[in-house]
Amino acid sequence: MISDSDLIAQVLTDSDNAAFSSLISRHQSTLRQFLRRLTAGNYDLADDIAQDACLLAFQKLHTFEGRASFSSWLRKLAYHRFLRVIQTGAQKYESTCSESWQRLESRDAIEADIMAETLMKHLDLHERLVITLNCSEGRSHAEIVDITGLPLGTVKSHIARAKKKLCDLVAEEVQVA
Amino acid sequence: MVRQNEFLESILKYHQNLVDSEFVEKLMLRIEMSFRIRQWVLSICSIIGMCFGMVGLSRLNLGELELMGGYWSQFAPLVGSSIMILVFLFFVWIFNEEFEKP
Repeated sequence: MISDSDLIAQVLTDSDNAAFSSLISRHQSTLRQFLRRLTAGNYDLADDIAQDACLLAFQKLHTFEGRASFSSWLRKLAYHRFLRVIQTGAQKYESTCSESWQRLESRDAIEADIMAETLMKHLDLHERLVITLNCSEGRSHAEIVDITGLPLGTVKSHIARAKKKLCDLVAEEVQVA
Repeated sequence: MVRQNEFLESILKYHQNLVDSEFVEKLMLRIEMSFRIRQWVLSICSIIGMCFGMVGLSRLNLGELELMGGYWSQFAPLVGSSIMILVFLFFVWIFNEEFEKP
């Protein structure tokens, strides 16, 4: 399989759009999942932001230095695009969620993702961001700092707070059951 | 603590692999469209530039065109304003397309 860096080189040197298409095909699933978590299950908006981020990635590919992985760089673009959408005030993300999440016992992959997205509604934006990057994607603290631009201490505290909130939610659910 | 992390990872991991060729197709169409728009804008701006260059050259060489000066001056503010707006829009477009910070 051709590596990401080889595909990027093909796009830049040969203006090979098919290579970019392959690159995006490889990363689109996790990118869209990441944005679905950030938007707490707003699929249309998540896909719109993913499209914009990929288009921006195509336009800015020559600025990609290869210090971090392509997927990290793509996350960074998507996150900044997401922040921009929030700043326009067109969408509300800081939902103060009073609805309880429902654990889906006999769940398939789709239901499991819906459950995770519902859980995200109980977290604030930064918590959603760092917990998704950390727990869903398994990224290190250093990578999260690079993607989000947040200080290391802040990243760690957001992760700890998000984990506590989620564990408390799960514990509540178990008690109710 | 380790079990807690494992549990959270198990419920938060991405469970589906979103296979969607439509997403990539739509993106490639947008890329093609933006490339075409860029070509169109650059071509139109080049043509406008060439037209003005030719007018400038002709005014230098042909005395008869001086006669049209009075007629032209009526429209000069309107044309000037339109050109300024077009130039401004061109720069807005260029900066949004090419120099937007990620």
